[in-house]
Amino acid sequence: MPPPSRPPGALSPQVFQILLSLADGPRHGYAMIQDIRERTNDEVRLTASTLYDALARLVDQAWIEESDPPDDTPDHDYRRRYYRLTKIGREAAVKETARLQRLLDMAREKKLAPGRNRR
Amino acid sequence: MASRFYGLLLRLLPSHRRLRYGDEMAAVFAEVVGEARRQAGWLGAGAAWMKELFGLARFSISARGLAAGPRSHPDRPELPRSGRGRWHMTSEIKGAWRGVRGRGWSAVLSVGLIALALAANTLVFSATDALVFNTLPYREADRLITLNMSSSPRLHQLRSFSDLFSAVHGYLAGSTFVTGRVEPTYVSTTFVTPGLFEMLGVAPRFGRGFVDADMAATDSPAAVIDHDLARERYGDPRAAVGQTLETTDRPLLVVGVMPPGFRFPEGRTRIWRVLDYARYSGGRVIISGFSGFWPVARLAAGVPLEHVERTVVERIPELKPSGNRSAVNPIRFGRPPDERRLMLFALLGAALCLLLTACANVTSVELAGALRRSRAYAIQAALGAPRGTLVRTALFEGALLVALAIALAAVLAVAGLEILTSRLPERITQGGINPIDLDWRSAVFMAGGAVATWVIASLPVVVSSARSNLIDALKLEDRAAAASRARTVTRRLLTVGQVAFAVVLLVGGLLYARTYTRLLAIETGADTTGVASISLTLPPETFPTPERIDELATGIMGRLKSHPGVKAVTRLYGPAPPAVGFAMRSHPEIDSRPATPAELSALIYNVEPDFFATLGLPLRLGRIFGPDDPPTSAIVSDTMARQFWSGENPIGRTFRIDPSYPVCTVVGVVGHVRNDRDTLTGPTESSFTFYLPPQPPLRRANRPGDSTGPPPVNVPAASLWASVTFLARLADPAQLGAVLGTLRGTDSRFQTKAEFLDDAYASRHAETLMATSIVTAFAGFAFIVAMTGIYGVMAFLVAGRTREIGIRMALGADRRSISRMVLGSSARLVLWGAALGSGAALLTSRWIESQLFGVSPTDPATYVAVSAAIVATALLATWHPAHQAARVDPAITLRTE
Repeated sequence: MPPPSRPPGALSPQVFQILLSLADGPRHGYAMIQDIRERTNDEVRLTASTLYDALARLVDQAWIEESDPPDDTPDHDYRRRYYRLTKIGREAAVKETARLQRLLDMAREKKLAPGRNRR
Repeated sequence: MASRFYGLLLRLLPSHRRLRYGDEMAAVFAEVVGEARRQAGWLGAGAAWMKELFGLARFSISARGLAAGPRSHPDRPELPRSGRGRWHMTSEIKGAWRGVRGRGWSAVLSVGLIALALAANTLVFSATDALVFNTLPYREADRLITLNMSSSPRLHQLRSFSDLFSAVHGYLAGSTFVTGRVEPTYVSTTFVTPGLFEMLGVAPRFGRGFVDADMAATDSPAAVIDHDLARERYGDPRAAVGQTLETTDRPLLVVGVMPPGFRFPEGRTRIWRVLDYARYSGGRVIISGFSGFWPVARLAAGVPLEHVERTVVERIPELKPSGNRSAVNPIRFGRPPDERRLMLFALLGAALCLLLTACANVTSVELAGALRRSRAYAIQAALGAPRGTLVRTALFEGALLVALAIALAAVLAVAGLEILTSRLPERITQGGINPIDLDWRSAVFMAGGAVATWVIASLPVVVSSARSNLIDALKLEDRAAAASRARTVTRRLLTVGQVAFAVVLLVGGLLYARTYTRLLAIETGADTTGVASISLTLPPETFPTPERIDELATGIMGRLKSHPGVKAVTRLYGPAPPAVGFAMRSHPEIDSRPATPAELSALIYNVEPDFFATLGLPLRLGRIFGPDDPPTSAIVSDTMARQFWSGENPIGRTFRIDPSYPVCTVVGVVGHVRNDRDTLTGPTESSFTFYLPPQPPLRRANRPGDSTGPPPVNVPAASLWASVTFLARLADPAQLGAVLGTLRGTDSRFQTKAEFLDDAYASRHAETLMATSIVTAFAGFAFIVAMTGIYGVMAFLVAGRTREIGIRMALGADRRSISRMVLGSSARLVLWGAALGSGAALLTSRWIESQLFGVSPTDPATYVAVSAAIVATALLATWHPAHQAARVDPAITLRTE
């Protein structure tokens, strides 16, 4: 049963962060952890198991896929694998962003959030 | 070490996830821990480990689809944040830690003891699990089946039954000679149809699997290789993809590397190549000398096995069940023979005995500790601590002990596994489809064992704490001790139990050991000591014709003969004993009359005349065949002579293997050399052994209607190989290395292997040796544990009875009678233990009766020896406490009162 705090269809912060992390291009596992931690100011700290738990399912869902390392990587650890967003994955991230945007807009209308309401 | 341990933890994950993500996770985790350590020191690293542990447990649960919530969504519900309850837990753990630390060495011993017993159990379980219990490590392996191939159905026909099968593939065993090193190395190879890996649900770790295009003829055929082979040859397994693997045939192009631990159809296969079945379509698959072509199929979704079985037989009537095999069988590769299964169960029982011994010992120590601490407990209770708190403290301390033991046991198990697998023969470790390793099932087993240990070891303490009598305990310690007689009785019972388990294990170990020595002592029938078999494996491309092989053999023969360390040497045409040279089903005719029973196995060795002298095989009658003898001159074993010409002189008599084979004439009779078809007690009645001069294997005379069989399938050339075997009698076994060195000279076109015949005979009993060493090791350990148990109980008893002893001495008892009193009460415990243990051993040893040889499970000498040894050692262990008791000074003792 999904927790009541999250509406159906919404992504968990971890999954959304992984998708965000891969939006710029392919990354390997540890780079994702670092990127997410830096971007969220240590709020979302993934470890190997939590990352791969999510990654494995994202791969199963074909939201992400394994990719060749970017050409400029001087990388010798053969255990490293790179992942990139698929078209479905990108769509899911866009959809989630739109959902968050709608929420933010609603909050702004109620004067709960700073910023201008463009509508 | 840390990465080893992490690798062990990864076993928590189901294999498809582990094979796909495991080493990647290990790499990422190493970096995570490294960074945590840089930021927050060892504490940070510890925190990272803890976090990872919980994360892995959750991953394991969610990957098995056990987690609540919709599975299709890639998201996971967030964990509830740990609340205040955690702090409560922490203080409990801290309290338990203080309690355990306060015990000093006794805690260390308890932890070590439980850890060893847990590790032993886990190892034996891992082996049993890999060889007996576990399923195949493929996706939905219970939906994979094989078909009864006695009638060779066609693959494309099976593939047309899409209502029954979602995929149909096949494989064929072969070999590759890999070069580029000192000598061509034989590597077991399996030819598979493209798509077989996908059907199994295992993708290559690097590169790709086979595609149909790989079947096209090319200068470098595609190959997928094993992870270990990739690392051995190319250092970095990823780098293997795209490389060529040099062989004696065409070079292979490595297109993929399978994940570590992948096995198909068993552990020896290290190269997979494409099987172009389409080229043979329409032809039946008959490949002599190979295990044949095997179809593997995945049942279509929702179709029950019984339905498939029925329907397949309806559509292909030749597939009807034969013998004990039905038409369609769930695949079970590498299933061990019943004997080995029984042995593994016996070993599991032995490991359980060891665990119970350790439990009894720890409980006994804990009880003694509880007795000592009873005043502290009583004071706590008097100050208003509820009984529940005391019980909880006892439980937490027990849990902490067991948790520490698990950590140690994990380390011991990893180390022990390496020792175990390196000692076991390859046919056991590599023959199965599951590697003997510590997987999540072993972890679950260990956890279960730990929980059981915890319950067993804590229960008596908990019960006694719950019952502890406030008033009694608050009185002086001695009286408190005297008052809690119940605990002393429990401790004595526990000691009796330890001795009993040790006796059971010792009896088992001794029975196995005696069996093994008896097995080694079985006569081989020849003077095999110092005789080595040296075999060369020849790649077919380098030695394409019998002439080339003979040329090589003659050269080597010359070098062997001229070597001063070689006393005699002969060339064999086939494998050396104890292997059977050449076996065939036969309907023998003796002197032109059919033999009874009508069907037997003919075991034939093609040998040179000097074979008999080299092997020291005595000629009983007649003569050895010479160079002028026709190829039908036979030397028969004396067993065969008795079997067919009972009592009469067989020289000059004739026989043939089958009515369609040429008639052989007996020229000589030799003793029987033990071979693999014999039972432990000698040759079987269902086979007969004889020797023929070197010649091509006996050919069946062509009969009309015999040649209509379909043409054999064209196996890729690298799958066929020849071998040449020599038997050499060495003056000194230590010279084998030197002899092999001269044999090769500068020629590096073949692979050599040498083995002493005595070792070959001994290796036939590797399982018994394994059982002997394991049970003996367990028994030795249990024995020591039981002895320390006796020592502990007696020392405690003496310490607790100092006052009583003082009074006795004051009343006139002399030192010797005091010693005797202590020794006597120790002897009572041991005798009870020995009696109970012997009884239990009598009952349980019947289960291993079928694995014993030359010794009865109720062999009185074994029981007497074990009981005598344990009683004598126990009295020795009691010597110190008895001595202490005798040194009690009544004046001092009574003054303290």
